[in-house]
Amino acid sequence: MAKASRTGAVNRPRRQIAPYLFILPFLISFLAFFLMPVIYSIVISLMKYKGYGTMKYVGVDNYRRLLTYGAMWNSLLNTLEYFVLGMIPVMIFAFLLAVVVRSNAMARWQRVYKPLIFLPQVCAVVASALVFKVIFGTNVGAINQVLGTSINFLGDSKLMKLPVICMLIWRNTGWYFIIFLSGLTTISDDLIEAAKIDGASSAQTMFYVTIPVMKPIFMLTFITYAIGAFKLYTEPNLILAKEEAPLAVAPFVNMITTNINSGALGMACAAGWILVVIIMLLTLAQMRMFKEGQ
Amino acid sequence: MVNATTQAHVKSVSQAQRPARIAMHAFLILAALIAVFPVFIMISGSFKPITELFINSWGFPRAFTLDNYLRLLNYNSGMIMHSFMNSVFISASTTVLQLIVASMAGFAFSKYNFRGKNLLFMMFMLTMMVPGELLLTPQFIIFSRLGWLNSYQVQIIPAVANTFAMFMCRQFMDSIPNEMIEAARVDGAGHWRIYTQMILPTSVPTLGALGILQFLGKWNDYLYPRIMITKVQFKPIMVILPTLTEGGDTSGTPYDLILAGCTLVVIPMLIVFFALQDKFLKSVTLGSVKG
Repeated sequence: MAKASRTGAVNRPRRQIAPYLFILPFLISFLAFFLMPVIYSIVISLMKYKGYGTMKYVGVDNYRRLLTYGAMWNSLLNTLEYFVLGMIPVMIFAFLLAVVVRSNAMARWQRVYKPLIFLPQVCAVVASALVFKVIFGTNVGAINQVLGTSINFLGDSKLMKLPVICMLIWRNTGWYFIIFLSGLTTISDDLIEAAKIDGASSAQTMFYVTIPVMKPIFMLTFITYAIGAFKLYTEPNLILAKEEAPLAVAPFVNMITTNINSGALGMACAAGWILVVIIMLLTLAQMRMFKEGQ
Repeated sequence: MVNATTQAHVKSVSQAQRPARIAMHAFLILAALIAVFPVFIMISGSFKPITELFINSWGFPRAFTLDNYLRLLNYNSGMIMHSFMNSVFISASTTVLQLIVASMAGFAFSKYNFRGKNLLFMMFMLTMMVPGELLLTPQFIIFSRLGWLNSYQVQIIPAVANTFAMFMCRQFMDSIPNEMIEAARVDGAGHWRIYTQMILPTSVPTLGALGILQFLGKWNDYLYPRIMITKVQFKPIMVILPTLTEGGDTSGTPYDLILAGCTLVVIPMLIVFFALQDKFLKSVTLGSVKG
């Protein structure tokens, strides 16, 4: 059978309804529960609306109020802090662990270490947050009991972010470890061998061979981490409170939830769009950064 | 067979000094201990009376007790088990529906050419950039008008069209040879029969890995049900756990009860994880495009 591609689409474009019928359930669900809410949220973000009664058009007032609202900037800075202070150790640990686990000396032990390092990812976020609350507790906390102290990690405004950052590092390292590991496996042994034969030390091989080859993977992981980081919600809220964390340590998503709870739905939508803009800017900035670096 | 390169490696391994190898193990053991430590605290703590947690929250239980679990089962007349079953039902039905809808759409995108194909696909892919948090408010308004707040369907139906799952299905189906489909067509099989009797059975491994990922995501979901559900009857267990209280707000947080509850939701996942390790770890790299 003479076909250009063995695995591409079977049929030439022609009038047929079968493919549309196969897509239909997805499309309907997509339109009803994704596209419609997205468009609706643009509309609502320009309104003053409590969820009942009438909507009042206020233009960009919601956005202006948010942007001049100290709590919004505060939550943004908090999120940035969780993001940067979490990401740096996560990336370093994940990469180091991947390099060590990938090394030939450890080949036999991969099957033991891999699942153990990945384990935190399997634990539900809610459960992990509650456990970290116990670990960092003043009286009930393992850390204070081991140190014989009674440091108020969960209440002292200078220390409160620490338990959250620790949990983020603990939970995310395993995920990126697996991603880096699969990236390292794609580097052929021949390449490393060639570098060695040329007299490169292991450090040189690392900096001149491994890291450059891994660059696209680094870029992808930075972007996915950044996007995830700005959607942070569960960890700070459940470690530092029962439902919503105090403003001083609240992440950005709280701008959406507190506004929903207080019936300022226009503000909640506007905050949602600010989040979208932030995520897009971040993605673009990182893409540009990496392009220049190359 | 050992080829030249691996031989060279074996040599370099034996040359690697013993201290270096010991240091590597030490590093990995330390990392593994840190990874496992909170899980250990959770499980061992769930067998300790609250009084012991205040003096020994990090070691093995000295006064081993199952009392926490008994109290958990009886908590608020069986509320925990009810919400646990809610979670199972919601996660399972969402995953199944997601896989059906995604595999159908993925099949169409992979094996047919039709007008608007690329445009539709691009439109779907763009949605992966949009955070679900944006949808929270408009969905809240729409569902409150529809009277869907506090229901099961609000926790299942809106999540059915999952772009990531659809994308992964298409990726996989692209690797199914066309000859198979052509042959079936010659034998007179219709579009639907090709999908159910050829495409689906071939896709089982991929759908399995994808299913694990989607189930886990829904099982762990917290923000969405917290906004949409206020009636205890419909709450998944993740929303219940953080709010456990005993004897009124004055008596402090019942950490013993909470740790037992956490163990309850984590253990099934750990069992699945260790049973299906490879599939699990593969699903991570499969999902590395996921936000």
